Amino acid sequence: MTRPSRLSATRGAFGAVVALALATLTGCGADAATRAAAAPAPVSTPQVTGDLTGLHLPIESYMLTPLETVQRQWLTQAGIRSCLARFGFAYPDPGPRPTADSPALAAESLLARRYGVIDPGLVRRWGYHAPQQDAPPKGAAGGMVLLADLSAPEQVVLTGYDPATRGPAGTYKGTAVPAQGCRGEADRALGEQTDGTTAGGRQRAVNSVDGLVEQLKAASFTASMADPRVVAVFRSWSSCMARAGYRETNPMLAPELFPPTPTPTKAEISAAETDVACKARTNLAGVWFAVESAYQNAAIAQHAGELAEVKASLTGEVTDLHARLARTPA
Amino acid sequence: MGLKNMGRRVAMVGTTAALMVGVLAGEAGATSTNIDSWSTSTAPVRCAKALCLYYSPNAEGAIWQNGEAGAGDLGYWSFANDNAPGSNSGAGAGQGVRNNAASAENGATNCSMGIYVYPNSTGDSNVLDPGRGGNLTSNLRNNEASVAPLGVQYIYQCG
Repeated sequence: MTRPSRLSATRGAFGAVVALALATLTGCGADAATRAAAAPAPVSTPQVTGDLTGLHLPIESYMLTPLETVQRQWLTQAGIRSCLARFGFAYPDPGPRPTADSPALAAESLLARRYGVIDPGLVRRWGYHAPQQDAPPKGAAGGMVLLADLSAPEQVVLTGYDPATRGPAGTYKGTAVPAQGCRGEADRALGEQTDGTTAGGRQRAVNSVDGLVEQLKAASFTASMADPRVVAVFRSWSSCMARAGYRETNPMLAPELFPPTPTPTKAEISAAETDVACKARTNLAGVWFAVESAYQNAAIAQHAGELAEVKASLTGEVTDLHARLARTPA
Repeated sequence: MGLKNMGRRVAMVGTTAALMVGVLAGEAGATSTNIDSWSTSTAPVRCAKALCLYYSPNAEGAIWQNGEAGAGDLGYWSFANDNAPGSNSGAGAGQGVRNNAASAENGATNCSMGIYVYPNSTGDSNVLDPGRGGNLTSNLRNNEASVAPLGVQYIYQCG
């Protein structure tokens, strides 16, 4: 089992070019080296002692909120279900419309586990394991549905793909199957464009070919980990862990102190609790959040034009989402 | 290095729709935070279980799939050859999955899938909607440690 080695190379390169002082943002004419050398302007560092709720990374302005994301998924599932019902197929009920209290929102939080474990309440129960949802209330719909678990005809109507012909499904029992099946119909109801095939025959349902938001989010994570400010707070954390008898230089690799188990062991919980305490003492999450925010702010300014388009599209999408929610029975 | 990569991608954004055959430009909006690129229900259908990783891009090369559970540390798993036609399915067979995957597919119908840089669902991530496949972003490609279903379908217990 190998640990990521790419990171140490990245760290070295960034450590050499990033300055700690206030940076001036360079104009479009600057070359790549100058752009890389301009350290992002710092943002104020929050004190984080176990809770990142209420904090938002700058890039989140260009993303659906967790609630909007869950609402969108609920609409998709409701659309799939009503379409399949027209063909006589059953499909699990996604339940009532999601609200801000929905437990599903936690999994959509960008920050929740971005910097490793930080919540003392969660690690007391889960150690380094990702928290599981509580069992659904009695009588509620079941768990994950695998495409392979549906009957063959239901799969065809859901996806619109007929494996017998290796092509689009035409009709099912005399009724025309929507393009890309009930999933395609549900996606189009949410404003997505779903048609298009490649020369190789793979059916494509593309949400967006932009990917810029994803790229900025990824780059800021890598850059911030290599920033001297984050490197320094990692070192403080590591010293704190060492005093408790744990040897680990990278907090993101701390779960490797324990082999995978179905449920967390007492030893794992104990280590994770120490980890969280050391993070609070050093304010590791607060420092990292501030540094990553600074990198994102710089990148957002650098890509202002494209992101304005993203923002406009996002606003339209949210407006449309609320309208569809209002039209869909709860 | 990271900023240079972003510069290249920015140059592509305006022209991507014209250059990529068969891929329609969807709304450049919030859904750009996932890596959805294709439907998983096209031949050869390799991802019958929920969460699949592939050694190569575009769902080619050897495959890893672990039912509904995901994995907290992909270092404990290896890619396998499923003999899928036209997929170069032997490439990477027998190699460890951790820091070695290039693409992913989600064979569930109602749960999203998260792929993370670090173990136990931590660090930056890529997300795939149900029934979708995509290539990992450059910081996740050959740099991924864990996979998990996301409990995001409200009443469904995904995780």
